[in-house]
Amino acid sequence: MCVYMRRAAHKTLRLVLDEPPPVADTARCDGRGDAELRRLLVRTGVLPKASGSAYVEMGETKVLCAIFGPQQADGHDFLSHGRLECTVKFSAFARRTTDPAAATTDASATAALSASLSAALSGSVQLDQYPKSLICVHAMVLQDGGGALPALVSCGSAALAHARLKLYGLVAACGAAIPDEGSGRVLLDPSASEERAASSRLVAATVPELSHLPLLEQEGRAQFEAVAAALRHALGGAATVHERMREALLAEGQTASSARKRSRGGGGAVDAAA
Amino acid sequence: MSSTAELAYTLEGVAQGMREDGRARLDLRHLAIECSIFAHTCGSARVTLGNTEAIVGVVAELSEPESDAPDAGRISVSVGAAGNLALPDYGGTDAVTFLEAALAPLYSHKALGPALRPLCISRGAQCWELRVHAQLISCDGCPLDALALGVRAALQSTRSLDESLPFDASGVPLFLTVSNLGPHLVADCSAAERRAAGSALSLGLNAAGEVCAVRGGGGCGVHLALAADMLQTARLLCAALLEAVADATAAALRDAQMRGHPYAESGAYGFLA
Repeated sequence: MCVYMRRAAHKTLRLVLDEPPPVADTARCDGRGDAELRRLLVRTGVLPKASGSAYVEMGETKVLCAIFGPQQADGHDFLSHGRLECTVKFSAFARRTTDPAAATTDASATAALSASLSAALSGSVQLDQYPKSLICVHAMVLQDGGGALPALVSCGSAALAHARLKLYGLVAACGAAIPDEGSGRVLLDPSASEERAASSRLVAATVPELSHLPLLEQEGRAQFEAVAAALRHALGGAATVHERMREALLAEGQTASSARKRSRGGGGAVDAAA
Repeated sequence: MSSTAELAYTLEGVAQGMREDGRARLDLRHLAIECSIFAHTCGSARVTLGNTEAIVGVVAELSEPESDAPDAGRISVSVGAAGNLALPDYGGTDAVTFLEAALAPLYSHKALGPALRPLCISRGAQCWELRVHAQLISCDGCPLDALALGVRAALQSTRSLDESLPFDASGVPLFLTVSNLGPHLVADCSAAERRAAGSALSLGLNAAGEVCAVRGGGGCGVHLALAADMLQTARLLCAALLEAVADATAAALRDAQMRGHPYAESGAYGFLA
């Protein structure tokens, strides 16, 4: 009896701490338009000890990714191409609730996310240029405000580019949610409460240089036309994310090259590039 | 591994509209379903799709409902496969993990909706959880399709020992995988064709024509020019497959009833014969 009452009180507390549910009519809970992305931040080179690293913020979702490699692959089989190993972890403070029942689903959720992330990223790396090698991708979700998988994919790809690995292209991902089956609306880049309330959601990752979709996942129930519309919106959103990733990588490259020029020039020399 | 000559043979054959076993590009392999084959389970099925075979068992347990759906039961699916099965390469990830993650959204409360309500015993506190275990016995391409077929057939044959477990499995979705070999779309690839294929897209559709899951990509990914075609083709084929499977499962359930349940006491034997 006591256990039941404690659990019921815990559930009530969680409802109070949750974000307000999205308004049914036209506005989204944070005032965005239907096709508007959340505030997006991409930074590379945030971890000095890793071969490559990137940090992505999409609204409330904060994701950090580190690349270690290419390093020697264990095992006795000769591999003519490299291997990419992705591990996703959620920090203990990533979500608002610490529901003990959620601990078991978290393990399978992180395994599923690691599988999706490695499926999305392994096609973008020229793995045949790294025989007998292992490239480790360690991703950590610092805060999950919805859209963890698209943020993980974009972060991982930016980190792979920062690690100066040979890539076919940058992978950019975006999510979309279909709030209810009849309205025909598609919400781009949904927050956590929009994802929970949606009848269906979709994540698409694209490599615009190759016109490829390395990741396409949909779950929930939706009409076929709604899924097709959501896919179109998600691809448009992914193109925006791709632009932002390119800008961040170019900016980081310019600061790195000007820092190298300054250190080569020594004190007193005029820095022409500055 | 396939040699370049084998890959070229497969690709050129498909370009002419001829596959290795004589099927047309969008034909599925022979499908056989048996239901209620195990005595200790609530429901079970054995499905053969060409040379891919899966055996599925369903066990009912008491559990707590999910926090998102306090008035619905749960279905959880786990996949087992022997280590030496020739499972497809899912882009750097463990195949069993990929299959479990791909099957999970088909049986969530969002996909099945009202069908899970009768499994709830006490709102927010107790519900029935149908734990489904699908064992892949042999794999010759499209294990995801075969597993989804097996789980659907097993759920349709689910009933507890005293027949008080009310569960309507007619809304359970099915997967269909479409691959592209060059510019041509091919449904239900065998393992040899999958090695020659560029990419694969799996679509989960239920009997009402709603899309319940999409899994695509891996490897080099689905080309954007083909993505729309692959989705449409998968949708039309999956709708046709659902109709065919409805008849096949009804026949299998009738056979099971004539055999008597549980199977072990019916006098018939020769499982897997």
